[in-house]
Amino acid sequence: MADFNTIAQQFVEFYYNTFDTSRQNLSALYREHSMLTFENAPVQGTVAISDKLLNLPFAQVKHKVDTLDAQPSSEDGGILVLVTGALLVEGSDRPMSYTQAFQLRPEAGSYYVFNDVFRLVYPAA
Amino acid sequence: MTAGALKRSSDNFSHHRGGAKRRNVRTDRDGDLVMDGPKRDRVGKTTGPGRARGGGINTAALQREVLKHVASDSSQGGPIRAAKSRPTPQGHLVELKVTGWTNSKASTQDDRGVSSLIGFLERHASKRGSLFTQKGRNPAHTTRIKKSKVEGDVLFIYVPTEEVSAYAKVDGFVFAGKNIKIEGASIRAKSSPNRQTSPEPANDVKELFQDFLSSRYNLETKVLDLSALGTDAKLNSVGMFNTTSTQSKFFPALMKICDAQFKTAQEKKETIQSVALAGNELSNITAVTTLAQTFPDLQNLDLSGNKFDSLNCLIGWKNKFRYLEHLVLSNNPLEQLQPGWETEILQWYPRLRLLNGVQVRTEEEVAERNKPKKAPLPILGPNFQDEAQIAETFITSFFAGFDTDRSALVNMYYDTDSNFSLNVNTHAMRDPIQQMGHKTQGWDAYIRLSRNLKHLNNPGPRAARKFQGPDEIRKVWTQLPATRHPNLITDQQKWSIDCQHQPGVPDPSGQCPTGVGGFLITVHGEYEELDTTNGKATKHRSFDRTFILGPGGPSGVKVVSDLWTVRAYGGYVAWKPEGLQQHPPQQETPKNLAEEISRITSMNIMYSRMCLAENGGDVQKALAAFEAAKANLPQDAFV
Repeated sequence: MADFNTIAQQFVEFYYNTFDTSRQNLSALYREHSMLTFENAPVQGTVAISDKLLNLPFAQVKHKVDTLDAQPSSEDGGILVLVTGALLVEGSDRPMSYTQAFQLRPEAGSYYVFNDVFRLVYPAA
Repeated sequence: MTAGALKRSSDNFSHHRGGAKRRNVRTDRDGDLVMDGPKRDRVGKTTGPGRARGGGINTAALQREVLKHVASDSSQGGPIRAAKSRPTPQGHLVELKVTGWTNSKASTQDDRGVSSLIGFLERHASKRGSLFTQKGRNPAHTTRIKKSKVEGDVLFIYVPTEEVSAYAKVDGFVFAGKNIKIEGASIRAKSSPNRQTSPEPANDVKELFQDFLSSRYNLETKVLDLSALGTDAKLNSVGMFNTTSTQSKFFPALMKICDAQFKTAQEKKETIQSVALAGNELSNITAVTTLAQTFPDLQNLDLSGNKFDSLNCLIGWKNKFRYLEHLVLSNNPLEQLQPGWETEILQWYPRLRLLNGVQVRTEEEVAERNKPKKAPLPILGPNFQDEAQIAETFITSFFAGFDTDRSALVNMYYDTDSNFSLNVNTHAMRDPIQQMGHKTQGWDAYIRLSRNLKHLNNPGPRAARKFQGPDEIRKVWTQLPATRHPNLITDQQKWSIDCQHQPGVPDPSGQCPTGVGGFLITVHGEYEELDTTNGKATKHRSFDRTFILGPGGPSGVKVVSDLWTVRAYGGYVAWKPEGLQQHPPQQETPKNLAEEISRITSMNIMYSRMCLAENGGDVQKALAAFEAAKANLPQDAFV
């Protein structure tokens, strides 16, 4: 198995590409016990998470990852990933800083998202 | 306690015990208990199967077993404790073998008496499931044989693991004129012919303690009377206090066995509301200190007639027993030797109403003193899923420790499996106003440690910038600039903290290969870098820090992963609830619904929106949640 750094990197690339191009496909990355906290709103389960992501009030978005770091988080191969970056929403020319923490869990030779905690951290302007 | 103190009889305070001492016959006894409950009139329920104990107790084995119970740690106890602390999942059945029934009087029945036998076993096991039978719940709990089959002269029964001990007690009972025998892998062969030469110390000690406890428990008043232990004929007859070692282990072992009788803390709390330790010649609480762990919710405690000469002798119980209502300390030297002790003891127990039978607080005073306080960390996001304030305590001590004593912090929370890494986001947008004074960001102190996988491609540096274990982490922390984080309470608006339950983090004991529960904590905030020579702030930074916490370390909690991103100061407007509505991504809560909730509940718009968000945008759920929580909402939640 590839090392956790590579997996984290591949995951992050895949995740934001999918998010920015075909958001509906993100649901495949979550499971029934997966948890997403988007800003203040916690949701759990594939359907609820998918609903939440698809109903965000913007159709087009572009993520730009600035930093990415990862650590092993459990003996069974979990990986904790911390991303910071900026996102640009359609119709706005001002990117917003965000941070997102994922915990990935192994499953049958692949990984799924167990925790996903997203927050905007944009500065006042 | 001095050696032999429990043993020495104390004429002044010994309790009269009436009744015969015939083997296996429980008798009522009169009491002179000092608690405020009604007078006792009967003893607790018997638990033994009425089987004569051959050969008595082997004292050496007894000592060994007492020591074994005590030496084992609480989560890893002997057979008794282990069964309780790691219960087998419900539904797991154990096979037991029942023999000796084939020629009983019931064998003329169509089914050779099997159904009668099963009914007999269930009935008797049900009565023996619990030592402290709850009033009004008789039998304490009903057990059913889930499955059975007959092979020749053997009846196999299948019962849940937790009920095996109840069935074991029915071993040797007379069913329709025949002594039946119950065997199984988890039952010691009590009725085996070898018993005389090879006693079963664990069972003997357990039974001795259980019999003792039940003889000292009063079902009506819910009092466990452990007074004058040193004069107890039964304990003395087995030499419980003959040596210093058994004597000092006696009480903790007793507490463990007591604890093992209860499935839940609630059950324990309801069953034993009062404990008397009067007349035990105690000069301090060393020998009995485990009482506070076993009965943290105790309401009444009698310590009268001991040898406490100051409150220092009791200091280990300061701030324990948070629900103590009545404490009796009469007939102790401290009454004369420490004037003003009453005032101090009031501070120890916030719900104390009676001291030596005298009212010291009214109900109103107790209520006022214990009314819910505002949450100490109000910044915690609505998705802060803490448990027993573990995560909150960690956050509070972590950032204080990081600012003042990083080495001590490492010792407290990091072990050989802990990971730490940091990275710098040099692209993060800056707060234009705050950053005017700082022309350059000056990342020199961080950049050569920065582990940004987006730019750091070689495996060597990647590995070298992940720090594992206390030594590496301590070393890198000492290279980082001194910091000052804002106060978590007074500057709460500068923080954003979320916490999620986290199953399956590594178990330090290695017993649970799939890991045990922990927390995922995400923190967003800011700090100042300090010039250590004059304590003045030199830089202002924002950061994002993510922890995974698991069990371990001296505090009971350790850091499994610690990931830290440092960036230019960006302020905190992003998570200011008022600021949310100004940005397109934040208009996910329909404004009119929040307004509707505000109109109905009189909560302000911010709380209404939070309430709505927490309930998945469902107005009905949000209103129900408001009804449930409104008594505890702060003033500023309302318009």
